[in-house]
Amino acid sequence: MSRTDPAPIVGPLDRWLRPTGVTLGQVAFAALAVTVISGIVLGLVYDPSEPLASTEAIQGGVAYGFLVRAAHNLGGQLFVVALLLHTVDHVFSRSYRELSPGDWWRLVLVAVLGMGAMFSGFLLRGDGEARAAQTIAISAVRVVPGVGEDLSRMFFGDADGPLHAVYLHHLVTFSLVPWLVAIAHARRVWAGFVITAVVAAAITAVALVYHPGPALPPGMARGALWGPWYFIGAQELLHHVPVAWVTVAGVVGAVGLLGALGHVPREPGHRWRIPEAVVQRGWLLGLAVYLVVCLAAYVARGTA
Amino acid sequence: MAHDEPTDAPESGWRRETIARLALGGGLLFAGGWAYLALRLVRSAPRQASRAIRTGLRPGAIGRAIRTFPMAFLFRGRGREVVALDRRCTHLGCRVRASSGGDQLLCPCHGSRFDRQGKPLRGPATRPLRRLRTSVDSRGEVVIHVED
Repeated sequence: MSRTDPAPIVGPLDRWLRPTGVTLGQVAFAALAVTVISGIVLGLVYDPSEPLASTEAIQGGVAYGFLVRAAHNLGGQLFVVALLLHTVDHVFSRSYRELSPGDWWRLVLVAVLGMGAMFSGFLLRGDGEARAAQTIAISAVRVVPGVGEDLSRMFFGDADGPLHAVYLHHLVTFSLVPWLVAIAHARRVWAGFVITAVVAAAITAVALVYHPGPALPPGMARGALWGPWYFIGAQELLHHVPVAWVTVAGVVGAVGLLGALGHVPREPGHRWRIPEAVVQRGWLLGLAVYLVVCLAAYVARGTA
Repeated sequence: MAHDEPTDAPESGWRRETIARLALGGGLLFAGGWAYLALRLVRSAPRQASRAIRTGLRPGAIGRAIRTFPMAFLFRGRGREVVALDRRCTHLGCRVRASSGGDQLLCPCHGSRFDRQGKPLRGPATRPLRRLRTSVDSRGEVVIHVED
C-alpha cells in the first residue's frame, strides 16, 4: 500500500471493530482531543508551584472540577489503551510491513509520548504516590551515562520542588507534539466530529460515576506505593533487579525492538524473516509477560 | 522530450537522494546542537544545594521516639546524642516511614527495611540511610541540614 492510499491499514482488532465504522487509531485520536480540551479547562485552575493544593482545589473546591478531572484522566487512559491496542494489532498481524518506516516510527513515537503524557499527568497530582513516582523516575533517568542527571532535571525538575518542568512537558512535549505526530501518521487533523463527539459523550458518562479520589499528601500516604497501573510491573521488577536494567529493558526492549519492526524488508524470502519473527513474537510475549507481572504483583502484594 | 526522461531520471534520482541525505545529516547536526545547548542550560541553572529544616524543638524535648519531618527523622540515639536521618531511601529515593513500633524504618516503594540507626536490614537497598548534620539556632531550637 502506498503512502498516499487513503484507506487505513487495519489489523484483526480493527476488522472486529468494522461494524462500528471506527478504527482503534480513530478512537485514540478522539480520546486525545477530549484529553487536550479537558486539560485546557483544568489548566485554568492548576498551579504547578502548588501541585497538591491545586489538585485538591480542582477535586473539591471548584464547580465540576471533579468531573473535568475525571474526564481528563479517563480520556488519557483511553488514548493510551487504544493506542497500545492499535500498536499490538499492527504487530500481531504484521501489517507494519505495509507502512513506511517513517509512518511506523511516528506510531511508535506517539505511543511513547502518550505514555509520557499519562505519567507526567500522574506526577502533576503532587501527592505522596506521585512524589514517590517522580523520585523513582529521576533515579531511572539518572542511570543514562553522561547526561542522566541533566535529563532528569530537564524532564522532572527537583524531587521535592515545584512541578514546572513536568507541567511544561505535559502540555507541550507529551500533548502538542503527539498530536502533531499523529496528524503526520494518520494524515488527518483529528478523528472527525462524530467519533470525537461519541467518545467525549462516553467519557463524560463514565466520569459521572468514576472519578479518582482526593490525593493524599506525601506524609500521609499509607500502604505500599505503586504509582500508575501501567508501571506496577516495573515497580515489581525494581524489587529484584537494578534500576538500570529496567531502564534499558524499557527503552531498548520495548521501544527499540518495536521501532526496528518498521525496517523489516518487504521482499518475501529475505534473510531478515527469521529475526523479524523473533522480534515480533518476542515483543508480543514481552508485553504479555509484563501485563501478567503487573496483575500478579497487584494481587500478591495488594496495597498494604 | 519523452525520450530524454529515462536518461535524466537516474541522475536526478541520485541528486535528490544526495540532497535528502545532506538535509537529514544537517537536520541531525542542528538537533544535536540544540540538544547540547539545552543540556548546558539545564546544567548551569541554579539548584537548591541544601535545605534547613526548622524543627521548632529544643534539644531537651527530643526523646527516643522518632519524630518524622518531611525530609528527615529526628530522635535521640543510644548514646543520648541527637540523631537526624535522611528519609530518602538509598535504593531509589522514596520517602521512608517509621514502623508503628518505631523500631524499624520502611520504604513503601520497594520494601527496603532499616534499623533505627539507618542500617539496611532487608533489600533492595544496600546502603544505610544518610546521617544529617544538626545545629541549634539562635532561639535554641534544633535545625536539620539536608544536603543533596
